[in-house]
Amino acid sequence: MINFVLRKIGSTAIVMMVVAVIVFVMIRVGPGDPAAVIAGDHATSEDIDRIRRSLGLDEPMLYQFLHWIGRLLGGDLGQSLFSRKPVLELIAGRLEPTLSLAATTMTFAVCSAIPLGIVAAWQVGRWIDRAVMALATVAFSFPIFIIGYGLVWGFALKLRWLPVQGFRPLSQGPAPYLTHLVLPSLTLGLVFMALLTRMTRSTMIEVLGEDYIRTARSKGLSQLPILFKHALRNAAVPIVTTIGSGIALLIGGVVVAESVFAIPGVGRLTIEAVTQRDYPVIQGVLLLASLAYVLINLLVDLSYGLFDPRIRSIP
Amino acid sequence: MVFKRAIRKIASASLLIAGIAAAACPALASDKTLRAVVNADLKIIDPTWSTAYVTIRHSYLVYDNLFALNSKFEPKPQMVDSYTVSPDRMIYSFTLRKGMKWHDGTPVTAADCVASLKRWAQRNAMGQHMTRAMEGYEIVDDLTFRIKLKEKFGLVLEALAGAEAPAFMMPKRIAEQPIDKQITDPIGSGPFIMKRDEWQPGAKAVYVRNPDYIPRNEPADYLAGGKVAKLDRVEWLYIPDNNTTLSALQAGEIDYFEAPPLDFVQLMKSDPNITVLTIDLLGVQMMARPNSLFPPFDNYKARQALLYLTNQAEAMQAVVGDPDYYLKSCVTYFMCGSENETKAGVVGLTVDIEKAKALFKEAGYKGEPIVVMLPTDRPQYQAAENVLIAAMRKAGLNVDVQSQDWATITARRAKKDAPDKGGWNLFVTSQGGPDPASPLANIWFNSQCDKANIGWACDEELTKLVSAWAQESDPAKRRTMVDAIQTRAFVSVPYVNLGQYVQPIAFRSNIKGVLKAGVPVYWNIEKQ
Repeated sequence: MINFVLRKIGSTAIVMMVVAVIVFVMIRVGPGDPAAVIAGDHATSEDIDRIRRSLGLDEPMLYQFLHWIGRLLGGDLGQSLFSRKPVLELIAGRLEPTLSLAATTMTFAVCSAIPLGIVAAWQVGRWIDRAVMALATVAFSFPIFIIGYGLVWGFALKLRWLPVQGFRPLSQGPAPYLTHLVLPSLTLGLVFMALLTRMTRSTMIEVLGEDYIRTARSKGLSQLPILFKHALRNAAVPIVTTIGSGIALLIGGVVVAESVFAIPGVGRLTIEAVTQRDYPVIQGVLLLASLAYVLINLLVDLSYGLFDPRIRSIP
Repeated sequence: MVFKRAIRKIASASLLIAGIAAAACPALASDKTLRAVVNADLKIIDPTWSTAYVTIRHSYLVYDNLFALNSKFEPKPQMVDSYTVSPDRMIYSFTLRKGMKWHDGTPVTAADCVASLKRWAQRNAMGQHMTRAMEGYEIVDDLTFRIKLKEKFGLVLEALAGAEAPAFMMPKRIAEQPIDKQITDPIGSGPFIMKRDEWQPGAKAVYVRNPDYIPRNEPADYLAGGKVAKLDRVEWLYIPDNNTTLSALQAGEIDYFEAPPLDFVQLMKSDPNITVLTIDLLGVQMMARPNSLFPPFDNYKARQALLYLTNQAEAMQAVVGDPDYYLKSCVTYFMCGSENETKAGVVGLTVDIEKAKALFKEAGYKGEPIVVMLPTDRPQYQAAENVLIAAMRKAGLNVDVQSQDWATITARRAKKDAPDKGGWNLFVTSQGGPDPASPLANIWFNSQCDKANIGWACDEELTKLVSAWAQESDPAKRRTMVDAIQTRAFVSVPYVNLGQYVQPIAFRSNIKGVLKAGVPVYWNIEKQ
């Protein structure tokens, strides 16, 4: 197991180096110029050149890369070209909304999808199964922004139960924190819930047809231990894999949800940085997002061993 | 029984949700806090570093000006208490109001204002013109300074009062920072103080009332008069999605929507809780900017031909839709409704395909591609440009439409490369407020070739006429000179006026005192 972890950490370092090079080169060779955006709509060519020089953007790309890597190795992601605030500070300021949204979305999706998938598998072919599958199909088919606007219309504008937009940090109290997360989490979570429900159902149907389940039933075990102790545990590996890849999918969804609900999270920071060509912020966010993605996959790989002891013994 | 229990549970759950929702409701915000959604994210707080509108609007909250325009577009003293002009109009002497303080508590002095003017003049077009005509500044005492001219310049007060990029005053220690270094310390002497610790680029900026600000006694009038801050706190929120902003306004979560899309206006007008108001007395001028460096638009006849492919009513219909918010025809270069509005020398601005074809032929156009940059993320520019492109194609031009985002266009348009090597021939942009009404402050009108703005319009005769106009101090004479300037402009065509429209703002109906100041300002506003 230790060898496995060490190998993963080694490959993570290599992946991060490759990501750093690709991110740096891709955003530099792409069109656009942050100096032109900073200068504004009515700036002259001279204004833009002056800003470019003052930001060091006129230096050769190799020099800029080495300068950035040098600072990166010292743990410094640089400063925003626009606000002149440190990139790490900007990202840190956006983490709470994004992590909160991701956590509540995943909690909602997992807590609703797994029971629904189990019930659908247990009642396969009956009306409950068909109802669950219909719900999953509808939830999966609607674009996130349509679900979002629909929920806002119903719960915020008509019923006035929940706020339309914004985010309140937990430090302002649990009530405003949670109420501001309900609609975005539902919006984002419905799609993921649909995906996970279908995956849980199909895996559970497969497992429930296995010989050891038949044996358990013939021993007289009741439904609940069969479903949760025997079937679900054996179906867990593909479900956990789906949850892991779902977190990656979530990154794309978070961008939309953060925009629709005006949540100042990392997703919006990324979009704004890309739109304005704020190179240090784009580089910083993509690097940290890649690191997070690699770490999530590492955790998913490690979790397999918890559910299936045979995996632990694989050299 | 089971049913009753279920009802009781649902009722309890509803009460709990309602309680939580009430606890989270934004109505908790103080009654003297205005939550405004601005049209762009505030990322740069230095008005000499960026010409972005959002930076200028931020500056109006934080900084004050020596002079400001009133609703007749006349410069009126603001920080200045009194001023004199020598009989030969070569020495302007200004005395500041007593008791003014910077946000750090130090007194405002003449030396601070001179340093601020020097910083502003390095970037601002009017400031550069004024500096060229100047012998220098003289600081007389703590509150008095002079501007000494070496050659005539009749627009000193107009330059100091410019609306879209005025001279904002800041402490000397900040103003004297190198122009290449962005100011990060937003200390001014304006009616509001920026809470830098609460500023989150991409999310919000916060301003609180400046308790030391002493407003002028005159009532507020456009940008002039008393700047009375009646709000304790102004929160600028950046919500990138207009639908969300509208919903938030309808729900009362925000108070003020600075730039609602024009297709929302009818919906907002039907809501009694929302007021829609046009605060801009002049509006926005949309324009097509040809690149004068490369064929076909290096030839003035090709630029003239564009005048015969322009249908302002059609372009504005596409951009705005609601005829209440645009002019069907506005032929002047200098903003309809301004004192410089004139019809002198107007040619074209009605579609005449045959005439346009003939002019392109005279310009030597032989069917080479005309690269038009179409912004994918600026729907208003896109709409106006599409109308023009359709007319260009009707005239048989080989239009190469290249779609890209605005950030790409702003970088690409600054390049002087040939169109087939990454350059361009035409793009659409806009400018608003009183500045375009002035032949000198209208930056796209500048025709000083290499020194002109992007597109590099080049006309020596037009430049001479504008210089003479700037030297003239008699407003009546200047007015007649405008006719000659415009007549010449319709020959050399620095750009094509695609029409003029106004951008309304929207706010909750309990907000009172919103000023028609051209740019959104936050003094005089109160929440009832």
